[in-house]
Amino acid sequence: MIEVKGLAKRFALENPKAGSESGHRDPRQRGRFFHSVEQVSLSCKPGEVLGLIGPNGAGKTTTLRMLSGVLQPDRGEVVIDGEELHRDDGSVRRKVGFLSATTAIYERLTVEENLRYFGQLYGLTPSLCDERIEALCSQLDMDDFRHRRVLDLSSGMKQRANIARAVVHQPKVIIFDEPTTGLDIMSTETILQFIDSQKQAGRPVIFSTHHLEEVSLLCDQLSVILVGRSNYNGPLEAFAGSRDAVALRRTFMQQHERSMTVAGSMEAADVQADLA
Amino acid sequence: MFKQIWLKESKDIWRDKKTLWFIVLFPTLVIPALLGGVIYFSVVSMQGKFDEVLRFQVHAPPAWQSVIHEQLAGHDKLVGVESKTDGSAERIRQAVNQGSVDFVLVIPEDFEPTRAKVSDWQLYYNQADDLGQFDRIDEVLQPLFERWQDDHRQRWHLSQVQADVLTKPVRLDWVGTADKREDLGEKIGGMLPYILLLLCLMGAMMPALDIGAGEKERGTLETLLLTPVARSTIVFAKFTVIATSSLLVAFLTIASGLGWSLLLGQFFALEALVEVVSAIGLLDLTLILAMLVPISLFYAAMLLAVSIYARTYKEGQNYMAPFNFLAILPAMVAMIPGLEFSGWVPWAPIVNVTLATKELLKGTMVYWDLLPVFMTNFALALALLLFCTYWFRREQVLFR
Repeated sequence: MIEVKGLAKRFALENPKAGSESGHRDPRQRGRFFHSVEQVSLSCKPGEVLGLIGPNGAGKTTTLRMLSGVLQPDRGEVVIDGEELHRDDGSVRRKVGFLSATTAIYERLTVEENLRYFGQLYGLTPSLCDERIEALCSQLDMDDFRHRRVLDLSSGMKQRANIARAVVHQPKVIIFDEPTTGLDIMSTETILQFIDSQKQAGRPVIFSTHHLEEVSLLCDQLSVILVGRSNYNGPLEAFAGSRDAVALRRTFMQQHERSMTVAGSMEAADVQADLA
Repeated sequence: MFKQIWLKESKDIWRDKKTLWFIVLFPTLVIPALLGGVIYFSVVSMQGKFDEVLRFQVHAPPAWQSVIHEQLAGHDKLVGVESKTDGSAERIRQAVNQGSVDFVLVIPEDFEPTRAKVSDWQLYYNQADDLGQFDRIDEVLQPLFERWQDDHRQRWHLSQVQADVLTKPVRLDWVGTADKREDLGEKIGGMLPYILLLLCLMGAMMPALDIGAGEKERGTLETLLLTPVARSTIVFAKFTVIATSSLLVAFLTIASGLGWSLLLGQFFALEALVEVVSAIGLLDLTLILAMLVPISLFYAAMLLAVSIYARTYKEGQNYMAPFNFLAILPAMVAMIPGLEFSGWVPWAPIVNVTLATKELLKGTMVYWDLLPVFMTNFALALALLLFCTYWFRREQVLFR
């Protein structure tokens, strides 16, 4: 079980004037800071798949990075199996398996060397590590290239190896950030099947995506983030009245337009405040 | 966890061809080959110049023209050319500078060796071209001068001793107290630490860029940060890999330098160099290497901090350029003539290493004086490592 309550994260801007000079200032840019995530909450129970959707720049990746433990939230908490992730010495981080476009594996090492290395870092014994590598190579069809350097692999093979890296330590919670982006149909299928297998194994899975067909196919829960805030949290069917991807897209676009109108009025208020 | 990260980082950078090239092949083969090549071609070029046949003209009173000409032409590497100049200084300069003749000897019209008067002769030559080949003119004319001097001595009824006293009443004998090692150490001792420090820096730069900014760019740094390993452990492991590589370059350079010097000494007339290299004892050599340890640690911490800050490998290279200058500048101080390892120098980090290396090469080091060298440089390296650890914990640095 993973519960996220009231997460917020801001970043200091290197050039605070840049946004206002372009004339399209994000309402989350205030003073020297960009408030990437302002109020995000969600929860995912064991055996559930939660789809996280939102436009580019909405704050999905920052939210997931806070869920993985690499970013410290300014406010809010991430509770995994009853333990707060960020108040911990690192042991709760063992419970998270995280994959994103910015978490790659070592290209000059072989697939197996990568898996063994990360297994060791997560504290797996050598025999358990071997056992896990065997199981993952079989499950993700990696036996043919497990001894090849990652540098020589196709993007689909790399992504499968990276997924194996993310779950080599048997995490309690799985978080994938756009895992199918840029992959071919076969690799996408393998990854979607893997997510489904994790769901069947009783693990909570959170994954972000821009493909609403994937959400429609796999998700039980949906979380929508717009302009750094949770816009919707709840069962997938309740969002658009059905699991259909077309209905999901239509409802999402309506929500997005509404949030942009609100953001626009907030920006206008900010400009007026600046002028005053 | 430190061991696992250290081993992985080492394996990772050694599989990179750039690292292999810069850390192993460059100091052991490329630098000695380049230096050897430069020395070889300099020697060959100088020898060629020295063996060159010089063409000359003589402008002398008719009675002495053929005597002087024949005397000079008696040398197998001097050959007379027909005089085409009118003897004016301007024409002679022009002929020498244009290369139609190598030197011109001008003897005054009133010259007569029996006269009791010093005669002022002029030798026109291009001094910018002089590598010692013009010394043969003195050699070939000397017997003639001595014969005329002897004629004067006999005419004035002087003994040989009286004549010698008249021309040179005192003979000052310069007795050098420095042995060959100290002498050569003083001459090359400024350059060597500069090269060693430069190599230490180069040895640290490639891995620092690769496992800092390079990992960030390739996305593997974030993957590493996901693990439950403490960030201080990650920094320390990366730092140690960089420092090891830096030291390895320095060690390989010294080892290959010694090896190549001894090897080349067999083929070239470099007896003095071989003697000096052989005279540097194991203790002094160990101390030179030991002093490079804190330097490598300092470079490793500094470059890792810079590299972690950069978003990409290329950005890291741009940031490192001015830092390299800051790191190399103190090393250049050792080449300032007259600056010695005393006063404030033993307490100035990096500068003290370069001057202490010079003293060790010369064999004049008082070993206790090395204490401040190690203290100051280790303290500086530790301070930078602590900064690096603090730096690595900052999200603004890692996720710029």
